[in-house]
Amino acid sequence: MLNDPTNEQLRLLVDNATRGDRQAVLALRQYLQGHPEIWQEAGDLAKLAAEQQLHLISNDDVLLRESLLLQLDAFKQQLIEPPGSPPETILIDRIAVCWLQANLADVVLGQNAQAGKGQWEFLQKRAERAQKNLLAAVKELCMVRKLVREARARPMRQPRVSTKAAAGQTEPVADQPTACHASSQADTAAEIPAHSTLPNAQEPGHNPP
Amino acid sequence: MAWQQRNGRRYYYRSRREGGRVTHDYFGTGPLAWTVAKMDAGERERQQAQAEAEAALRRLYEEADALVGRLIAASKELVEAVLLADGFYRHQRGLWRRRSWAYAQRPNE
Repeated sequence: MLNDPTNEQLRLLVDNATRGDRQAVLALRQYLQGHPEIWQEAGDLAKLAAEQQLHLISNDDVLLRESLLLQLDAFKQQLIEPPGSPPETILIDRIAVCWLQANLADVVLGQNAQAGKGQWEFLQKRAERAQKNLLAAVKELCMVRKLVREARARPMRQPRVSTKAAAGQTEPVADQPTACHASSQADTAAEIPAHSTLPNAQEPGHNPP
Repeated sequence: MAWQQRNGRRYYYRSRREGGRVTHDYFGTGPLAWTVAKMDAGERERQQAQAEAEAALRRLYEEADALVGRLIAASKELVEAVLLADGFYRHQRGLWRRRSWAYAQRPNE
């Protein structure tokens, strides 16, 4: 997704945000809010991957294919926990695809018990890899749920800039390095635009409160 | 080894591995040799067809798995982007933690 040249901007923002650039974090946030199509792309990719796995399993057997689709939908419904979020949705899609892949790999492995050594090893490795993919996807969904809820409970603070900065002069107030509390200067708070020319506020990783 | 030409005549041998050593079965030059040669050729063709079928099946699985791989990579990258945008960072490339400046006031604070 990020390797797509059209997402150069997103990759740059992710790289800068990873380095602790606070402005990049804000810009990344705005980018994600302003580009819902990236979730659509990921969703399409998930559909395509599921279609291909279904084709391998059902092999033009329409009844089997439709049964599996229903089962897949039911499986996804079990994983949904309101209120959802785009990353959760895409992770649920990923789990569903990995689940299909793991099941297919197991079935094929069973069917090829008499296969040659090379083929058997290939199928066995594939089944193991599919199982690992499935477990990793489930683990990631749990992690994301936990973190997204934490973020929802305590949404990100908007950065404070001086009234001068709000008026157009770029002079940021020094960021509070520790956990922030409501301040009497809150009335002077102003949101920094995504393409702000403010210098990057490189911050080393702080310990969370 | 198959057909061997000796003194202007062809003799059929079948090679097989036995306990780490290659041994040759001799079938002479008569009808038996021709029958065994035909059987071996059929067996080789069958093995080759099986290998091709297995390779084609592998390619199919690899294509489907490559798409799953792309989905996994895309979802990882998007999740990473969302978490970074929420003020999280990977502590020593391990667990995700939230930057202290990303915390807002709790409702009861």
